Amino acid sequence: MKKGFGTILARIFIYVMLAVMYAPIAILIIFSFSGSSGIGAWSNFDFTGDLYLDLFQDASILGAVGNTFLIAIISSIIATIIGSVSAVGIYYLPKRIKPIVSGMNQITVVNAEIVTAVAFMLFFIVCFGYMDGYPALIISHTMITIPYVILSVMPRLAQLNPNLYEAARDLGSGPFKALTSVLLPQMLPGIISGFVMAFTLSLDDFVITLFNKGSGIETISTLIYSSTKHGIAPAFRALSTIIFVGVLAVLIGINIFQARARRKAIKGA
Amino acid sequence: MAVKNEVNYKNEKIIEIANITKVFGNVTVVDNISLAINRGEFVTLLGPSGCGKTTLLRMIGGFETPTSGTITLEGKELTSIPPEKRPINTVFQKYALFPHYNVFNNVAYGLKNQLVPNGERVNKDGSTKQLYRHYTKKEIEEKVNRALKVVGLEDYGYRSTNTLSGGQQQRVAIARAIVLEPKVLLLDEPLGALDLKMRKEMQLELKRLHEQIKITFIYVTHDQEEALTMSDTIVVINDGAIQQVGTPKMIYDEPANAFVANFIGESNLIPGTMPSDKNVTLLGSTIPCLDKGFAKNEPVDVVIRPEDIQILTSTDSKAQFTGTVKSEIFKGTYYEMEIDANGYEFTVQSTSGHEVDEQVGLYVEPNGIHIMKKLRTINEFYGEVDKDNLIWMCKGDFDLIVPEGLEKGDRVKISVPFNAVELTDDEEDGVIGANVTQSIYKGTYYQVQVYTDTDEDFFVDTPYEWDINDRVGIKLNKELVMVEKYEEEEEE
Repeated sequence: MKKGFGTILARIFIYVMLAVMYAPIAILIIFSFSGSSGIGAWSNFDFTGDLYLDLFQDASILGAVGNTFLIAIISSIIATIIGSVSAVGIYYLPKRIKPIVSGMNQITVVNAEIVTAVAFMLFFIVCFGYMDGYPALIISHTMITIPYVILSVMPRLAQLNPNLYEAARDLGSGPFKALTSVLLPQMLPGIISGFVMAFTLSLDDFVITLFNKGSGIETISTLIYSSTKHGIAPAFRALSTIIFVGVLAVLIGINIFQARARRKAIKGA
Repeated sequence: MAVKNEVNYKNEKIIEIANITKVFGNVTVVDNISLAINRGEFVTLLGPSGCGKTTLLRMIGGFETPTSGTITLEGKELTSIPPEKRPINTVFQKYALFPHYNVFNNVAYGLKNQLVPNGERVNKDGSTKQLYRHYTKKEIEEKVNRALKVVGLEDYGYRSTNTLSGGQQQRVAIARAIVLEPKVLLLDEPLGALDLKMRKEMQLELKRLHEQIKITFIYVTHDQEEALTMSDTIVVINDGAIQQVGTPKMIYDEPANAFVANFIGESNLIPGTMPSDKNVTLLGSTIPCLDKGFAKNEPVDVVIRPEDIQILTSTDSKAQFTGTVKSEIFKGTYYEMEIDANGYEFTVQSTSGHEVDEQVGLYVEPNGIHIMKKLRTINEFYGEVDKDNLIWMCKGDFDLIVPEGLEKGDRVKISVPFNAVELTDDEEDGVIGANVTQSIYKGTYYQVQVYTDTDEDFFVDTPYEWDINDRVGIKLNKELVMVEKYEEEEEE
C-alpha cells in the first residue's frame, strides 16, 4: 500500500523526537568510555574503562552511592507500607469524603518541589529544633513518595469487586486476614509498581535532598551538583551510565515478569 | 445438616427482626421494620431499587450496623457480632469470587477458617476445656467436592474462576456459601447479572437446592416474577417499610395496597367507592364483589388483573362495561389488548383476539375484583399562621384562606385533598420544592407521591405523568384546602 505524505511526516516526527530524547544519554554513555576531561572533542577520544576503575576507587562517590541507596530503600519500603494501607482506607471511605481525601493526596504530587523542600526544612526547624542527615532525608523522602504509592494502588482497588472484602469476612476471616488473604494479592501489582516508583523518585531526588541533608552527608545528586563548581569529574559519566543501565535492567525485568504473569493467567484458562 | 428437628421447622422462628431502622446521613433507608422468618423458609425481600431491601439484608449479614432495633438468630442477639462470627453466609450480587484462587480454593476458603470440636481437655483443677481443630485436608476435599457436586460443577475444581461463564461463577459463589452449612443463606440479587434464559434456569435450580439442603434462604430481588416463582413467603418493601407479607398467591391475588398491586404483575388499578357490602361502584357502574366491612361510600382502590376480565359482545346483557378495542398485541400464548371503556383504558389478556375498533363488552367475576383501602385519602399537615394571610408549613409560606379569628403564630391543621396540589416543572415556580418518589397510574389520572425537603409526603392526583426522582415545585389551590385551628395536645 502506498503511504501518504502525512504518514511519512508523522514517522519523521517520531524519529526526531526519539533522537532528541535519547541522544544525550547515548553521548553520555559513549564518553563514559573516554578518559578525556573535555567532552565533545572526538579528537582525543580514547576507548578505555579507566573511568569505571576510578569510580570504584573514589571514596566520596562510593559513599554518596551508599547513602542514596540506603535512603531510597528505607524510605520506599516505609512509603509502600503506609501508602498501600492508606489506599485501602481511602477506597472504603464514604462516597462524599473519598474525592476530598484523594484530592488532598494529589496536592503534594502537583506541588512545586522547591516549595515542598523549603517547607520540610522549616518543619524540621520548627518542630525538632533542627534535624538533618539520615532522619531528615528518610522522613522527607517517605512523605513525598507516599502519594505516588497511593496513586498506583488505588486503580487496582477500583477494579476489584466491591464485595470482595465482605465476602472474605462472610466466610469467616477477621478484618486482618480478609485484608492479607484477599485484598493484598489483588493489590500486589499496584504495590510493586508503587514501590519501584517510590524507590526511583527517592533515588534521583535532588531539590528536597539538597535543602534537608545538612552538612556532612552527600547523595549522588548533591555530590554531582557540588562538584560542578569545578567541572564535573569524568568519573560521574561512568556512574551515570551504570545508573542508567541499572534502571533499564529493572524496567526490562518488570516487563518480562508482567508478560510472563499475563501469559500464565491466560494459560490457566 | 443445619436442620436437625425438622418436624416443626415451619413454625419455628429462626430470625426475628425487631424495629430495625437504618439512617444514612439524613436519609432513612430502613424505617422501623419488624419481621420474623421461619426455619427452612424461602423468604424473598421484594421491592424497587433503593427501597431498603439490600440494606436490610446487609444488616442481617453483619455488613451494616442498624441505627436502632435488634436482629436475633435463634434467640441470640446478633447486632454486635461481626460477620465472620455469624452462622450466616451470603451470595453476593456480582459473585465476589476471589480471582487469585481457582474454583476449589474459592469453595475451600471458608472451611479453612472453620474450627470443629476436638475432644476436651481436663485441667488440673478438674474443669474441662473444649478443644478445637481445623478441618484436615481430606475433610476439606470431601466437603468441597460434595458442594461442587450439589451445584453441578464436579469437575471444575482446578479451573480458574475468570474462565467460567456467569452462571457457573454464580454456582461457585453458592457452593462457597453452602459448604459452610450456614443456618441462614442470604442471596443479594444473585441472578441480576445473568441473561434471561440462564436466569430462568437458575431460578428453578435455586428452588431445587433449597428443597435439597433445607437451609433458610433470604433472597433479595426487584424482579417480581422471580419472587413469585421461588418464594415460600414474599415481603414487599417500599420506602424502607414493609407493604405486605404473604405467600406469592396471597400477594398476587390480594394485594394490600395500590403499591403492591402495581408492583406485582400487571393490573388495572381503578378508583371506586363502596356503596354497600359486596358491591363496588367504579367508572359509573356498580358491580358485585366479595369484599365487605367498609364504611358506606368509602373511597377505595380496585384491582382487576388483566386475565380476570372476560370479553363479551357489546350487546351481551352480562356486560358490566362496554368499550372499544384500542390495540392488540399477540404475546405467544395470549393476546394483550387495550380496551377503552367508561373513560378508562383497561389492559385485558385473553386467548382470543379482537380487532382494533371492535365494540366489546367487559365482565369480571366477583372473585376477580380486589378491593383495597386507600393508603391515604387526604394530606394532613401542621403549621402556623404567618403574616398577611399566609400559612407557614413545610418551610414555605402558602397563600391559603385563613379562618376568621386566627392570629399570627397560631398553630393550625391543614387538610389538603390530593387534587388541591399542583406540581410545577420548575421548582422555582412552586412555594416549596420536592422530589417525586412514586407515580401510579390510576386509569384516568396519576397518583404521584412527592417528598419534601422537610421529610413530608404529599399525595397528588394529577393528569400528567411525572418522572420519579424529578425535582418539582408544589403549589396549593386555596379554594380546596381546609385550614383549622389546631389545639395542641401534650404530645406535640
